[in-house]
Amino acid sequence: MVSELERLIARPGQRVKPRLSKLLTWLHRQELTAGRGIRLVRSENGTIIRAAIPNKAFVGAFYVTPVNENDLIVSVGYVNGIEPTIGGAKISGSKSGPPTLSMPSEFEDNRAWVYVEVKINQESERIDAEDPESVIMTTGKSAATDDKFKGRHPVAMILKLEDGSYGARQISYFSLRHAYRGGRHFFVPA
Amino acid sequence: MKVRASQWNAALRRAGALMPRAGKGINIYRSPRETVISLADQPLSWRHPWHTLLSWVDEKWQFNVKPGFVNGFDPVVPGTAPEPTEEEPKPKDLGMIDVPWIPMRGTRLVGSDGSRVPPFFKKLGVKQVKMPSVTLGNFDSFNVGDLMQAAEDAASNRKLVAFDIFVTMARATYKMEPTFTNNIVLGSLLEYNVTYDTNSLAAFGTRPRLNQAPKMDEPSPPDLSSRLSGIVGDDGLDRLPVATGYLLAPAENPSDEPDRNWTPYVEHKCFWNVTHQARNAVPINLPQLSGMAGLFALTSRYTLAPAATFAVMEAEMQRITAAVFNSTTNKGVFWTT
Repeated sequence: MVSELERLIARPGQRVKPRLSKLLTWLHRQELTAGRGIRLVRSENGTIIRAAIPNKAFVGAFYVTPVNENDLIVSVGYVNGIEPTIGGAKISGSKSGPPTLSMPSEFEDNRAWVYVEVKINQESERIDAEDPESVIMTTGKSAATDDKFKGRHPVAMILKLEDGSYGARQISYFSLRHAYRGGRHFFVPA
Repeated sequence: MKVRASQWNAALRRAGALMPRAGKGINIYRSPRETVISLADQPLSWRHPWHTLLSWVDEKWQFNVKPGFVNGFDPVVPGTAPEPTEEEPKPKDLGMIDVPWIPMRGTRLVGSDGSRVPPFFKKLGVKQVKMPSVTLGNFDSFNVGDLMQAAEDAASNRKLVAFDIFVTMARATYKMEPTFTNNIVLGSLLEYNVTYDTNSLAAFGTRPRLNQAPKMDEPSPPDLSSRLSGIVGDDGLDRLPVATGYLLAPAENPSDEPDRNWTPYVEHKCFWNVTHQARNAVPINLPQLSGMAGLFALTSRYTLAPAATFAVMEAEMQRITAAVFNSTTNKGVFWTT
C-alpha cells in the first residue's frame, strides 16, 4: 500500500471524516499533467496516455549506407531539383532496387568521401537538366576536380575502421541548390 | 452516512492503486499540486551534429561533441597528437571522430563578476552581481560601499562557471601596404598594394579546428586608420560558436572548483554541418613578392589622388578609402551544408 495512505488507515471505532480531507489532498496531487513527449486524453471512461516515442534516427537526403564491403547506397536527394544518378540510374532506383556506388578505393587518414558532383554548361554556367550525367554521385578523397566546370559537395564521410569494415558519417541532410559564381561552386540547402 | 473502518480502508487501497508509477522510459515528477508524467531521455534519440555532452569522467569534467563537419572534414582537436615515434616523428592532432572525450580546461565566472546571467540560471538562483564602475576618472570618488556590497553579493551568490566550444577555420588575409609616392606631377600621393597573407593557413592548415576557451573572443576589426597604416589586425581565423558549457555549483556547501557535485548544462549554438568559404580564394600562380614569404600580389592597386581643393580631396579620399576598406576584408562565412 502507498505509504502516505497507510497513515490514513482507520481502526474499528475511529472516525473517518478527519482522514477524508487528507485523502482528498492526496487525490488532488495524483491529477496527471502532461510533460515532455506525453499527451493526455481525458474522458469519463478514464485518461488515455499517449507517448510520442522518438524514431531511432533522423534520416535526411543523400543518406549514405554501406551495404557490404564493396557497395554503398544513397537515399534520395536533389540538386536544383535534379535527382543524381549512379551509372546512369537515378539514385531512387527502380523496381529492382537502388543503384549501388562502389566503395572508395583510396583513403587518406582512413577517410574518404561520397560526393554529389555537378557539371555545368560552359556557356550558361548552369546545370543542364537534360544531361543525365550533369548531377552524379561519386567517391574520392578530395573535393577538387580537374575541370573547373565540375563542382563537388561532400554528402558523407566513409571511414575505414580498425576491424577492416566501413562506417559512414553523414554530412549533408538536405537537398541542395547549386550556384557557380566567380569560378567557385556554392552549394546551399534547398 | 456512516462509513465503516473496513470500507474506508478498502477505499484507501483502491485509491492507492490509482497512483501512477514510472515504468521504463517514463519520468514522473510529483509536486504538491500535481503529478507530471514525461518521457525519459531516449538513449536512441538522434543527436544532431555538434551535440555536446558534458560529464564527469575519470575524476574530471570532460565533454564529448558528436562530430560535425566543416567543408566535409571533422575538425582536429588541438593537443591530442600522440607521442612521437621513429616512424611518426611529427604526429598530427587527431580528428573529432577519434577523440571521444575532451578534458575541460579553463572556465569563466558567470554572474558573480557582473557578467550577464542567462535567464534559465536566474531561476536556479544565480544572480547578476552589480559591480560598481571604477575608472581612473572616479577612482577617488566612487562609493566604496557599493564595492563592498558587490563583494558580499558575489560571495553569497550561487556559483556558475562557463566555457565556450568553437570551431576556427584558417584563411588568407589581406594586407595593405602603403607607399608614399608624393608624386604631384603624376598625380599620385599614396599607393596601396594589397597582398594576400597566408601565414594563418601555413600555421593551422585548411582543416577546421575544435577549440575551447573560457570565452570565445571575436577580435574586433581594426579601424580605418590602422588598416590604412598597413596594420593587419586580422588573425586569419573565422570562428563558429558550437556550444557553451555551464557548470552550476550545488546550492549548499559548494566546492571552490567544479567537482562531481556540480550540475552540467549545455547551450547549443550550432546544429548542422557547415560549409566555410573565405570572401575570396587566394589566386593561384600569381608571382610572389620578393623577400616576403607567404605573400602573394593581388592584381588590384589603389591610388589616392590629389584633388583641386582640400574639401574635394578629402571627399575623394574618403570615397576611395571606403572602397579599399570594403574590398580588403577576406573574412569568411559559414553556412549550413
